[in-house]
Parts: sequence; C-alpha cells; structure tokens
Amino acid sequence: MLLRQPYVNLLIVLAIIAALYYGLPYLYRYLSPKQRRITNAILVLLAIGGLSYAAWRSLQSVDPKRFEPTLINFLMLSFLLFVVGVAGVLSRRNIIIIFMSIELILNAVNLNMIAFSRYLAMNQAALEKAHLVVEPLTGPVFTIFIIVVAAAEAAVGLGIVIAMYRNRETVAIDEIDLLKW
Amino acid sequence: MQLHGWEGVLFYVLAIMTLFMSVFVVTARVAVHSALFLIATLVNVALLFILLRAEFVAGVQILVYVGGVMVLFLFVIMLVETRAEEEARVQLYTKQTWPAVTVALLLAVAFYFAMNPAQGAFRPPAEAAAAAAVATTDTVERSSAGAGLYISQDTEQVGDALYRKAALPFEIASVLLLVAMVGAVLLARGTKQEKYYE
Amino acid sequence: MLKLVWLIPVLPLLGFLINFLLGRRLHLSERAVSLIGCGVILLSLVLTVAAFYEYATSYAPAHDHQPFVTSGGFPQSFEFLPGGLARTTLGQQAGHLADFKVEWSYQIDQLSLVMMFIITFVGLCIHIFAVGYMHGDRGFYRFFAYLNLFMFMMLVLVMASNFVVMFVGWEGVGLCSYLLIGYYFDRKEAGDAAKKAFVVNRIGDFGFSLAIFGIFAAFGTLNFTELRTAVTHYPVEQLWAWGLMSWLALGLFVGATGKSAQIPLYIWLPDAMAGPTPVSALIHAATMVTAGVFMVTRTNFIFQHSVTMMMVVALVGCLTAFVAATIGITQTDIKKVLAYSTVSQLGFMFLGAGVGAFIAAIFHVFTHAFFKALLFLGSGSVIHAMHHEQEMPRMGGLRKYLPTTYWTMMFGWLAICGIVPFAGFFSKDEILWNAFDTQLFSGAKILWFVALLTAGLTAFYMTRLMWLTFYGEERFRRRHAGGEADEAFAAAHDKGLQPHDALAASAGDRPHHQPGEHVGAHDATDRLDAQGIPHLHFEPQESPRVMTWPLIVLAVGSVVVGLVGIPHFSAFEQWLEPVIARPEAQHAVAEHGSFTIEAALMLLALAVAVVGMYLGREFYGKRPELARQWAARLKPLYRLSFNKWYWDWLLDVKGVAAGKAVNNALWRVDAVVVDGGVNGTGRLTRISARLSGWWDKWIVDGLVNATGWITRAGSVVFRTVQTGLWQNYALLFVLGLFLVFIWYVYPSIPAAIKGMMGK
Repeated sequence: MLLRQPYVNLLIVLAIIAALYYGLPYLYRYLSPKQRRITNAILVLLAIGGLSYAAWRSLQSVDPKRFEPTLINFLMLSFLLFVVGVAGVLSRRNIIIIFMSIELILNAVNLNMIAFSRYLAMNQAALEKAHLVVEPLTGPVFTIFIIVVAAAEAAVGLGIVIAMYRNRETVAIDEIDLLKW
Repeated sequence: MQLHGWEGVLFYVLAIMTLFMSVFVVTARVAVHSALFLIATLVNVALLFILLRAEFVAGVQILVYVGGVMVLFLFVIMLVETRAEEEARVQLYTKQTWPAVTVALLLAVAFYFAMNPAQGAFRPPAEAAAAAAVATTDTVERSSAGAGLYISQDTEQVGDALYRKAALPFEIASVLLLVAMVGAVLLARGTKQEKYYE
Repeated sequence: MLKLVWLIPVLPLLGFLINFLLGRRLHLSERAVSLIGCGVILLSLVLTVAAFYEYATSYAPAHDHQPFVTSGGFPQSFEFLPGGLARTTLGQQAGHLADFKVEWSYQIDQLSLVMMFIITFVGLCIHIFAVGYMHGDRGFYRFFAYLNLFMFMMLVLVMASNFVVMFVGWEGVGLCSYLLIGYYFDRKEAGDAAKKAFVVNRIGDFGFSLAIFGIFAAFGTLNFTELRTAVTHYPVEQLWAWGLMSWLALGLFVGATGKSAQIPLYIWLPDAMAGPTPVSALIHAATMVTAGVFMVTRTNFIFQHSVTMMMVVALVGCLTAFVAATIGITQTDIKKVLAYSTVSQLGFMFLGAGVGAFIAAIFHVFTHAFFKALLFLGSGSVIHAMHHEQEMPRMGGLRKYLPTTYWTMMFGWLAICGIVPFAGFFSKDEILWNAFDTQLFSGAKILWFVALLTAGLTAFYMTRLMWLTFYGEERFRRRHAGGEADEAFAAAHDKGLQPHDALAASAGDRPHHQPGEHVGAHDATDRLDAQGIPHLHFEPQESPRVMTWPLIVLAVGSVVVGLVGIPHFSAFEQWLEPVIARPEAQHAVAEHGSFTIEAALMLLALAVAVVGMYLGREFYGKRPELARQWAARLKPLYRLSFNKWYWDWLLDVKGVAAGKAVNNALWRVDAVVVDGGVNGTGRLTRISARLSGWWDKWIVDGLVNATGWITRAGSVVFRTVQTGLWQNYALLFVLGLFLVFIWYVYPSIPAAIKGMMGK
C-alpha cells in the first residue's frame, strides 16, 4: 500500500498545502470578503481537524511512554533556546535586544545545567555503581554564578549602551564599525 | 530521569511557551515588548527549574532576573528612547539576517544529529525504569507530590554546597558585582556629572 | 723673594682683568684705571728688583750661577700641557722615548732678570707717561688693560723656562701688539697696520714653531736648562756646513726676524706707528721688538753650534741696520724716523749676536730700551704739544716752548748717536768692536765697516730730527692748516674719495678725537689779518708733569745705564757670562784683539758720529738749502730712500700681483686638471647611474611594485572581510561553532538519516 509507505502522507499533505497556497488566490478572486472569511475559517478548522486526527492516529500507534520527557528533551529545549538567542544576537540591530538575546543564551545554558544536575541526582546510585564520581549540586551552584555574571554583564553592558547613546545618538549596532581600525 | 503523567504534559506546554516567547523576544519590533517577552521566557524557564526540583535556582531566577536585570533593561530602554525610532519603521535587522538564520538552523540541525545517537541512552530500559521507579527519592517525591506535604531540601543543599565547596568563587563573584557596579556608574554618568566629579 | 717671582707676571694680568672686565661696567675713572694699571707694574718692578737682589747676592753664588727655575705647586708652576710618551725622530737620539710634558714654570737667571728689569722699569715710565698722553680718550680703560696684558705676556716670554711657555708669551705679545696698533680701530690705516703686523708676525711664528717641533723631535725636551746640556753632545757645524743645528737655528731666526722686524719682515714696524705713541715706545721700541734678540740670546747654545747661521744673523742684522738707516734719512714723519731708527738699532743687535757678542747685543737692548723709549716719549710729548701734528716740516723752533722735552730728548739724541758718556756709545761700540774682532768667519770687517757707516748715518738722521723739530724757523706758523688731515684731504680729493674716507685715512696718531675738534697745529678758520694771511696765535705748550717726569727719569737712565758696561770693566758682561754657552771649538778663538786697536776703533766710531752730527746740523740747522741741493744731486738714491727701497711697493704691489698670478695658475690647474677629473668622474658616474637607474627602475622597483600589487590585490579579500561590525565576526564565530559540531558528529549523520528513513 502506497499510503502505508512512510512520508507518503507527508508528501500528500505538502501537495495539498501547495495547492492551497497557489490555488487559493485564484479562488479568492471570485469570492466576496465575507465568503473569503468563511472559507478561511473552514480551511483552518479542516487543518486543525486533520492535524488532530493525524495526532490521534499517531498516538494510537505508539507507546505513550515514549513521549515522556527525559534529559534529552530538556537538552533539545535548551539548545533551541540557545539557537534562538544566537539568531537574535546575529540579526538584530538594536543593541538592547541583542543584550536580551544574550540573556536567552545564558538561560539556555542554565537550563542545561539544572537538567544535568537533576539527571545526576536521579541516577546517582546507578552511576556510582559504575564507579563514576557524581556531584549533582555543581549544576545549581554554577547556575547561580552564571546568573551573577549575567547580572554584572548586563549592568556594564547597559552602561556602555547609555554612554554610546549619549555620544552617538544611536543604539544601532551596525553603525559602529570601530573594529575596522 | 523521566517526567511522568501531568508533569510531562506540563513540560511540553512550558517548552512550547518558552520557545515561542523567546522567538518573540528576538523578533519584537519595540524594545519594551521584547523585554516583556523576555520576562515571560524567564518565568517559563523558572517554572521548568521547579519541574526539575531546583526551587532555589528558580527563586533566584525570578528575583534576580525578573526583579533586577529586567528592571535595569526597562530603565535603559526608557533612557535611550528608541521607541520613536522603532515605530518609524526603521530597519530592524542587519544585512546578515538571512545568513545568520541559516547558520542558526544549521546549528540546530547539527545539534539534532549530535543528540540523536544518545536519544536512547537517556531513556531507561524497562528494568531500569522499574528500578528507578522503586528508587527512594523518586518514590518519596511521587508519594508526596500530590499531597503537597513535600518540603524541598534543595535550598539547604545548594546553600550547603555554595558555602562549603564554592566559598571562594562566591566571594570572587561578589567582588565582580562590585566591580560591575562601579564600572556601570562610571560608564553611564552624564557629561554634567563628569564635569562635577572632575 | 725668589719665591714670589710668579707674582711678577700675574700682577699685570690682574690689572688687565680688573681694567678690562670692570673698567666699563663700573665706569672706572681715569684716575682709578691709571692707578690700577701703573700700580701693578710698580709692584712688579719692586718684586723684580727684589728678585734681582736675592738672585745676585745669595742664589747665584750658592748655585754656581745656575738659573733658578720655579717649582713646587700651583702658583709657581703647574702642568701646562700634559702629554705622553713620544719618540724622537731627529738627531743622535732618534728613536728614543721622550716624555712630552710641558710645565708652566719660570726660569730666573741673569738674562731674564735683565729683561724683566727693562720691561718693568721702562714699562712703568711709559705707563705713567700714557696717563697724561691718553687723557680724555674714550677707551682709556681699554688702553691700560691692553698695556697690562702686554706686560704680562712680555714677562711670560722672558721668564719662560721652556719653549712652549715662551711661545705663549711670544704669541701673546703679538696679540697685544695687534690690539694696540689697531687701538684706533675706527681708522682704516690703524686697522690695516694691525693686520699687517699680525700677518707678518705669523710668518716668523711659523718658523719659530717649526723650530720648536724640531727641537722636541731632536732632543725630547723643551726646557732651556736641559737643552743646554743636551746640545753639548753635538759638534759645532762649521762655516758652510748645514746640519740639524743650522736648521733649528734657521727656524728660530725666522721667528726672530718676524718679531724683531729684520729683513725681510721689517715692513710691519713702521706701519705699526699708527698705534698711540706710548705703545710705539713700549712695544715697538723698548721691549717686544727686542724679543727676537732675547730669544736668540736665550738659545745661543743652538746658534753657536752653527757658524753658518751666525753669519746669516750677522749679515741680516747688518743689512737691516744699513737699509733702515738710509730710509730714516728722508722720512718726514717724526715717528716713522724713530721707527726706522728702531729697525736699524735692532739690526745692530743682531749684528752683535751674529758675531758672537750676545752680551753686547743684550747690552744694546738694555741701553736702547732707555734711550729709544725716551726718544719716542719725547716725540709723543712733541706730538701732544703740536696737537697731533707728526710731520717734522711743520715743526721747528720748539726748543723754547718745550724746554723739558727738548733737554731730555737731547740726552736721548746724544745716546743714540754714541757720544762718549751716554749709554748708546758703550753698547754700540761694543758691537762694532766685536764685529771687527770676530774670528767666527772671515770678512766680518766688511760688516764692521757697514755698521760704522750706519752709525754715522744714525747720527746724521737723528740730528736732522732734532734740528727739524727744535731749531730753526717756527714753520708751524707758516702754514695755517696743520696735521696730515689737509694733505690727506687733498690726496683723497685726487683719488675721488669722500671726505669721510679721507679722514679715516689721515688722522695720524692721536687719541680719539670728537667730531668738530680741530686737527693740526691750530684752528684753520681763525681770524685773517689784512693781507688775508691768518692771524696766528697758536702757542705750543709743555706737556704736563705726569708726562715730563718719565722723560726725565729715562733721560737720567740714558746717561747712566751705559756705565755698567764700560769695556774691560763691564759688570754687565760679567753678570751675563754664565748665560752664554762656550762650545769647545770656540774657546780658542774667543780671545780678543789688542786694546790699542779697540781704543782706536772707539775713537773712530766717535769721530764718525760727530761727523754725522755735524753734517746733520749743517744740512738742517745752518744751511737748510743744502738738503734740497743734495737731494737733487743724489736723486736716485734719494728716491730709493724716500720710497723705502721699494720694498713695501715690491711686497704690496708686485708680491700681491705675483701671488695673484700664482693663484691664477693654480686655479687654472684646478679648473683644467682637477675639474676635468671631477667632470670625467661625474660623466662616468652618470653613465653608470643611468645603467643602475634602469636596473633599479625596471627590476628592483618592478619586484617591489609586484609585491605591492599582489599585496593590494590580496588585501581586497581581507579588507572586505574586515567590516568592523562585530556581528559579522560573531556570525563567523557561530559558523565555526557549527563546523566544529559537524566535525564532531559527522560519523553519526548517515546513521541518523538512515534511522529516520527506516521508520
């Protein structure tokens, strides 16, 4: 069965989305605004329903235990947070927002720390059985230090922002290219 | 470590909230909005800490970050008055936005591939899970979780570790804060104040 | 008192320093300046006399008449030129190591004591005279400062214990002579005369310094006492033999001719009369010009080792004496006459030295210092009385106006003519007798004859001077404009000069005069009488007492100083005997001839002098027309004499022209050969430069440019990367993080994808 093949469903869904993406404008051209809104609502409901059904179907087929979050999930979350922060740092012009992105990155690291700490505490016995040294409290301690350093960094950095704004009347980072010389 | 039942559901909710909020932090047009989303993110992360039985760190996160650093951010935003600038539809992103996003996504993909082989390793096998289920702490936690009688020893333990094993770094951190304070005062003072002090 | 001899030169130096440094700043009055200037000389004189007494009575007998050389510590002696070891290169001792170390110390012996006495005594008289003579001069303090400096240098010269210290004094007196001749430096004539004196003296000093080098190279020492013993190891170089000693003596004698105005370097001395008259008396008659005689006597141990050089000295001295005397006959400037007289007398001294009579030469220095200073000061008094008129044809009949001057100058006149009890007779006769009697070389009798003739000439022109000045018509009343000024004006008008230049060229010897002050015998714009002839009421007046007293003292000296040197009873000769070296070879011939001949010659000389005086009186006193007649009759000789034997003309016109021609020739050599070589080199250089330039431009520069171009092209990449925006750098950093991740995890990627697909 073709439909049972993996990713065929996905391809079908993608095809439907593409058809809607390119076809809807043509459809909308012949519809009044009110009809458009109704059409929109119908489509959204269909999508939610489809997705719910798909989710339901998939959940039916797998062990629910599989979705119980473990350390890896926390690491994933932490890393996504990290990536979002990195994207912010690299793409925003406003230096204050860049600082906030840096706070995001630091928080991602904090989350990582705490997650590992918890993991170690939970598996202390097993790990010590394997002759590994386990120090679960290192994580929170480090986290506290990171928070301290982040606070200090924010204070100094924002001081620099104020000084810069006073001297240059701007907070846009790409207007400052003093590193060139 | 595995979160069971509603704790697991709560993790997913908090994780999604955190990710969305963080994306909003990065993409917000107005800096104040960005700060508010950041507060939301931080609160979410604090809740995740509680989920991880790190109540003290969660408290610190709320007190220091939300109560201190974010107020500082808001003050600075107020001082530099970028709102008009932001609302005038100036360019929000640098020219390297698309390369940056691409690199970030590549990084995420790379991380996924890095994590993938280890995925199974963190998931305890059935017997390990059973063993974990009978582990003392876990049982105690579970038995007391719903009853609301559980008193966390986290603060005590962290405080103990902080003062016993990390006393010197702790002091150094305090000096660092002092230095940062002096530096911030020195950097942020106005020309009038500069004249006054010199 | 010998311990204090170091003070003798230092005191005038002190006076110089005070007057020169403070005279202007403190506005010292003339009285203060003259007190300081004369006081230090008086002190020096006292010390000299005391040293004389002590040396003569106690030191010399106790030390076998050896010289006393100061030593032992700073004020008396000190290390003047520290040196090192050097190898002697000449003579018997060539190749030996000698320690070149010059000590500043004074040698007190019979010779230096005599000279010190002359210098301080005559110097004191002249200083006192100058107080009156220079009265009212603007540079009064400067004049006395220079005079004191001169005294210091002269005393250093005569007291020196070695050649270098002597040379310091030698050059120092030359400097002072230059400064004092050019004392009226606003007059071109004086400045030129000063330069002339300085330049001519340099020629002599060149020879002198060569001789000093040679002496050190030969003997390894410069001390007179050591040299004297060192020289005894050398044989006497007989007549026509020419060796080391002759060379050294020649160098020394060249120095002496420069300083003592002998042929051929005498030309500076007459011009030096442009200085104030006291200067002429002190420097250019009494002391400095005799330094050459002193030096020859001091180094007589060298001269005596070269008979040839002795003859040269005698010849030059004799010739100078004769030539100068003939010139002196026709000069009209009173100071010029005296200047040529001085040259002539110096010639006598060298003649004496040349024939081996060093003592006679020094004796003549001694007496000459007195009577020539007297004559100069007397002429100064006359010039002063005549309001700075120097031309004798405008004087005459001054006897009754200037009685003191007249009588004192008569003494000097008699002394220089050689009349019997006066000083000049004994000294001159001593020289003549020695010239007649010498056994050193044959033919000295010719020298004697010429010298005798010169003595007659001397008597003649000195009588002329006296009679023109003091007897006869009062010619200064005949011509209403006096002084050289009007003559100079006329001459300058002919040459088309401005009156200002003419004034600069004229003025003669006088203290600095103010504009509007009259120059000459009287004021030319005085009232005229009925015939249009100026009514003249000018009366010459006797000089003040401060000027006449030195004249009287010197006049007395001119009478008595000769008495110390009466032949055969000569205290002077006994006194100086230890100074004169007697080489073995000359002992035999040192015996003098018979007393009879000597007495006869004495009478002959006296007769010649009297004849000269008689002729002079006939020509210029009794029958003045005779002078003109004889001048016309002997016209070529007259012109020769009047034009100073054309020697000045030869040097100034022909010598300079020859020098120019030589220089032109040298320039031509330079232009053709040297410049040709230079240009050729330049052309070669240019060709090679073009070659190397091509190489440089295309190869070397090409490499450099290529490097630069590559660098620039390469820099485009790096420059583009270096945007200066830190976000770019952060992006690269994150990219690097990604690559690290990939490098870390890439083995697991295929499996992971397979796992995804496999699901």
